[in-house]
Amino acid sequence: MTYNNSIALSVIILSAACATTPSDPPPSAVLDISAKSCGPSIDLEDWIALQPEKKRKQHSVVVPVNSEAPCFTSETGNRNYALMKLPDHGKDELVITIGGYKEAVRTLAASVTILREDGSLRRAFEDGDYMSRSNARAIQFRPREQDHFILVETDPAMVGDAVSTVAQNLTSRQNSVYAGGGYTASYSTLRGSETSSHRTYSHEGAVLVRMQALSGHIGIPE
Amino acid sequence: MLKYFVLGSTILSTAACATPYTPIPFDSDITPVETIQIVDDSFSDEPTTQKLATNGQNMASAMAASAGLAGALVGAVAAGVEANIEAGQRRRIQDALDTVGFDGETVFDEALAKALTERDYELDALSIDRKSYRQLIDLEPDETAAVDMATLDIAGAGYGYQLIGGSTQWRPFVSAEVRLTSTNDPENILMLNRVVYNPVATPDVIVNLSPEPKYGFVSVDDIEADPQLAAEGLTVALVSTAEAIAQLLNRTTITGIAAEVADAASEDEVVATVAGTDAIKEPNSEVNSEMSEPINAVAEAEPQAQAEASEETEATTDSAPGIEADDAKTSDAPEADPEVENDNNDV
Repeated sequence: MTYNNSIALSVIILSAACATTPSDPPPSAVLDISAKSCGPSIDLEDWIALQPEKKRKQHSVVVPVNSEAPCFTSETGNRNYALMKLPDHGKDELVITIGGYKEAVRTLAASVTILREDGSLRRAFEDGDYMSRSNARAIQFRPREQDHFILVETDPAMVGDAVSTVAQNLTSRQNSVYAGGGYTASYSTLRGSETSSHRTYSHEGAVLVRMQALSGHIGIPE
Repeated sequence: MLKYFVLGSTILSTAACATPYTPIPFDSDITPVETIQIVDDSFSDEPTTQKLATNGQNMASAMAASAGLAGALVGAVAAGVEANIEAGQRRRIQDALDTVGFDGETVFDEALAKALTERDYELDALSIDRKSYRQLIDLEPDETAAVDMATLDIAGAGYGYQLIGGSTQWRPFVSAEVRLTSTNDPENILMLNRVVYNPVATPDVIVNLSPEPKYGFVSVDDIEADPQLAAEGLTVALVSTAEAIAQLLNRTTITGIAAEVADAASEDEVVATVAGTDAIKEPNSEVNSEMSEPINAVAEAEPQAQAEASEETEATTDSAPGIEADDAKTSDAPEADPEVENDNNDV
């Protein structure tokens, strides 16, 4: 290696070392999955277990719905879906909050239905049942006998709609200052900020599932 | 894979930080309700203010005033400075709203009655001396009440304008806890939840409503300059809260209908009931016949299916989206957030 080449290589290496790696932009909304190859219906064998491995009073699951998510073709177009099997539990003793997670710039256009074990519709929810809960547009319900699966499918009618919001947030910070006479005073401050968000409903994103036991533990009623 | 693990961890960590609170969703199919008795005096008739951040200038003043004192006292002095300032600002905001005849309690009561009536509930009222707006009332059973009568108690902890820092704006807020109980048996809780309009920290599982962006005021002077707009902003907040409470009492209307349809079509139509009710309304025998085999397979071999699904969780995370995040919640996950484990309350 010549001296000049050595210099050049060093410069390249140093440049590479000093360069900052830009962070990935947040995932944007996916508005069209018409090119995706989908079957005519859901696959009842391809489900995700919601039952925790250990006994728990609360349990949360996040189900990404991405380009590899299963899908089916409906009259209104292709829909991604996630099929989840409810944990075993006593009647009315479980509370489930489930819906499309609000990411930075998108929200999964989630439509939730409850199916029986044979896949037949047990319960559906209307638009008015969805509310902003935690960081999701979610419904909340108590599973009952015959409820077996939760089906979350994307709704083509909702995809593309956007919601703009503003939020006020507080963060706590611990501080200290020299107070004279050998003392150091510590104090905490609350710092406020406002953030504006513009989220578009999307065929891809994530499902947020929150399970809470009103009695006993999830999967093991008392 | 990594991306989704991070996404899952972030979401779950956020959830883990909140205080565990278990709401009870209303299910009219379990307990049908026709008449709702609303406990009077849900909210104070006077709006209030919240200043939730520590103003740096005030803290500096407190430092100067308390040089040499222990740290806790410095904070106390600063808090006192803040409190005095806020008291003056609260009075000015209240006076400004008074100039346009704003009555928050009436706004809320009327909006709630309208929203519940639209849902076909008969309404009644119950007058009880409320000791605190922050606490739900211990109700006595009314054994003469009809079985389809329920009592709605709303502890409206507060409403008004809040400021969370020097560079932010005064915006409306409302906070309430709601509970529906059987009138003849108050121990029987039919619905329990909390509704917060403009929460400063996203609460877990409770209902949170984003504020309307247009109702922001840089200073109290701006509120005094346009009290009509300030009253309008607070009206929107209270009406939205009332509507959200009524939404929590939406009737469960689909279950019975779906069950009837499903029963009527049980043999050959109901298998692929997805896409809302598409498959029920227009049954496709070709699709259904394809689906009937997997159903039987699931029903007969369920334990095995579940075991296989669990194994797939570990083995095929790249090809099975939706499993990675669940991994993050298990104790075996190498990078599991300790808060998440705590949140899950393992036994």
